[in-house]
Amino acid sequence: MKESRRQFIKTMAAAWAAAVAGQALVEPNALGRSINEDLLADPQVTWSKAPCRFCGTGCGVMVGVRDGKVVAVAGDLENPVNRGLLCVKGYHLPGILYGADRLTRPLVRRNGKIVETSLEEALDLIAAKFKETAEAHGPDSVALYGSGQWTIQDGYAGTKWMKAGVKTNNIEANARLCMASAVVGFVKSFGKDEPMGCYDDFEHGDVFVMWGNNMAEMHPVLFSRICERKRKASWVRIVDIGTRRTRTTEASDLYLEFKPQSDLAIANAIAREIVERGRVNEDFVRKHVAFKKGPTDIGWGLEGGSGNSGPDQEISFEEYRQFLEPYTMAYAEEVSGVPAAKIRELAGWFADPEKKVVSLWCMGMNQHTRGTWINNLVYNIHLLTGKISQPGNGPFSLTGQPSACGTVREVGTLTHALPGGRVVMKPEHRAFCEETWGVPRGTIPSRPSNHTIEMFRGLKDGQIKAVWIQVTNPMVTLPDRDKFLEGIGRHKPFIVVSDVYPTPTTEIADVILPTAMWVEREACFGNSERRTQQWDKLVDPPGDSRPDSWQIIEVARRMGYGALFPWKTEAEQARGLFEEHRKFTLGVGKDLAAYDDLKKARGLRWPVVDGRETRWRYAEGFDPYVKKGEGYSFYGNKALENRAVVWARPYEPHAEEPDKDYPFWFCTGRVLEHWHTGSMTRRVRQLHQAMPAAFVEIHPEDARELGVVTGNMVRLVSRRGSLELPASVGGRSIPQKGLVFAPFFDESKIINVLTLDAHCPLSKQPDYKKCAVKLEKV
Amino acid sequence: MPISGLVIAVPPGREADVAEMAAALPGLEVTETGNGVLIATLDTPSVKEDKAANQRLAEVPGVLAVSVAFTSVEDCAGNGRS
Repeated sequence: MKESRRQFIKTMAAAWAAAVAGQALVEPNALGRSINEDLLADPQVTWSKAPCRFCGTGCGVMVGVRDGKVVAVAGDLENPVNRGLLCVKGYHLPGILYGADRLTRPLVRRNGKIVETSLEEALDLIAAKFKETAEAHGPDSVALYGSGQWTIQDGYAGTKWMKAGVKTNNIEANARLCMASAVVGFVKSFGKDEPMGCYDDFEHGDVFVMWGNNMAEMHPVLFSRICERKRKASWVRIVDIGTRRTRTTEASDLYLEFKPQSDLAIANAIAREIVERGRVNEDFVRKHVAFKKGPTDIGWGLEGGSGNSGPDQEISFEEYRQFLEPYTMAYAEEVSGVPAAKIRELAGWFADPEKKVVSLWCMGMNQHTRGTWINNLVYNIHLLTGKISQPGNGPFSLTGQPSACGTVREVGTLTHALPGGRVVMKPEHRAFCEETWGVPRGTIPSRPSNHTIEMFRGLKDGQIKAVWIQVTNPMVTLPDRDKFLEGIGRHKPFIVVSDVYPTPTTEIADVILPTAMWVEREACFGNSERRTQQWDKLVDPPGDSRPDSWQIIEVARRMGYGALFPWKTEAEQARGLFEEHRKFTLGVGKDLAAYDDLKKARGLRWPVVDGRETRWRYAEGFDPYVKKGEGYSFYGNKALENRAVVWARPYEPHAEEPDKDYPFWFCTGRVLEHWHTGSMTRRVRQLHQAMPAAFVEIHPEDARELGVVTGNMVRLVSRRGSLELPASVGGRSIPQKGLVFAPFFDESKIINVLTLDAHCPLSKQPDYKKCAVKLEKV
Repeated sequence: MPISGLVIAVPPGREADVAEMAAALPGLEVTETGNGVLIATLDTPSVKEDKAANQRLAEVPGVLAVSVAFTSVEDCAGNGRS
């Protein structure tokens, strides 16, 4: 590079950083800068907006393209999500496109060997196999398994193909593994999915409560907004409720370290404290809240296991108060190990009518055998105090994937779901979809088929004979992974995998299709705060790579379902799929913006009515669906006169707790440098070098008793498998005594050989945070 | 050769001394200071040095957080893991 260009780029880098600081970190213009697109006026590089490809935050980036290649990325100053800031993963976005082992040609397994083939031949083979299998064994013998990384267009194409074409509800997505409990929790309490608040809450709240949420590492840009709020407002407090000390703990004012599963008891104890101290917001509760209870002892979703089920029942406030009676501070301390004084202090902040409180969580609360219940219990606290649907007040579930909300939850790429929050169980919902899709009444099956774990059990046991897996890596992420691998090896279902890099899942594929990713195609994501973001195709994908939606449509046409997909070019498909999906969202409180409006905007938060986005749902003055004079309306619960539900949900133990044979809790999760299974981030040299391999975090006292120090190899043994990992003692994070933690990004160390496929019986989301292991020094 | 624009959060009042320590890192240049914030560029010969400088920067006393505002990799061949 010429020195003059080098200096030019450095000047631009410094100017952009100064502009970001002026926008995001200090008072506007404190550094004498303002938002200025001219800063990116490089004649050799073309800049365009896009959302980041990684987590559910939805940061805006400016993507710089030169000679057909992404060569630079800048935080988007005009995007209100991140105001120009990026975490380390967004920083390395260009690298994910250009890994040396990028898949570029279709591959097919012949005589046990994977060989290149043409795109036409691969698509013909997939269509023929799916058609032949569905005809021979019924529509439920084929399946589509996608992802919260699917774009909205991909998910919509997949749903339409399966439910209107193949006539099966056998479509699921990996978001079942990361946020299904939040979905069912929202629907059970409010009648509609997704948060009522938005990121603007971070500039209004007084107390931020992290429920099992290492936000500093998992959502660092959003956490920086909370830290900035605290810097400007001395009274602001951050509370960390966790099972291990993390970077989030370091920034917190109050840390509640609880025994796994006991968050249920803590939440009920907080609710009891609010009730007994007379701090219930009686006016709000009288007008806007109903009380219910459901079955208890509901099991853990294990194969051959059992559990109670049955109808929910409405109860009175007095019955709810009696339900709370056992959850004294002393009981909560006994069950959780958290000193009563700390729980009482947190309860006091919730109870204080002068303090605005935001609750935040992600997989720590959702991956829980009582995931739906703990979601309900957190909503309870906000409903009892009326701290909801107002700036700085509300429960807010974060997501880990860029379109878990926009695609999986809003399109409905789950077995029970249909677009726009509809479900297959309701005849009127099926009828609306069938009419919109132009297919005969009765096309969509009226019952859900298989949720994710059942789908893979079906593959393992031979009932499902063909599956197409897109943008996800289940051979790393499934709990108790080896039993699925063994069963699939025995029954040999036909497996298609679409991805960008080789993974342990492509290793078991019969056909591998290379995929166009991120700015190699035009599409939309929907982030955690209901913000739909659109981007254009900026560079060509390599070789035969095509968008997932294009691949689905090509196979659907070959199977005879071409009429469902009248759009020809990729650009027509991007617009057409979105605009058709949008029809399902209008008038049901989930109104998406028009495609042309999204092309211009840095995303818009639904419901978008008369061109205006909605920041706080369910509240008069913010939500266009709430009529004047109503104050609040939880209009998803029409049968309850638009009231939200406070649920009586008890503490119940986990499926597998430590005992004398397996004395440690085992918890899994993520790290800052890598995203999920690492199939993209491990291709980026900087990230790979910073965090090259998995490890196991051990409490210093446990390490001393075991005789290990950092770097020593430790064997972890569960009832399902064993794995050797290097120990990390006293490092970045420190688990509580009696608990060990390992991240799941390293495909050479499959930690899910240890985990248990127990799941929440309501949401069907597995609990990756808890099982029992023993440790052996190697 | 990666070139980045960084926003470094520091305790208010400590901008000058943290800037002096940070500027000692190879390839790092502090271009501006504000209340509790430093603006810097990082220009290193390779991704290896870039990674090393980032790690050392995070360990400089007084550095609270490092955010990335801009990065250019236009003359880094491939940029992926080889």
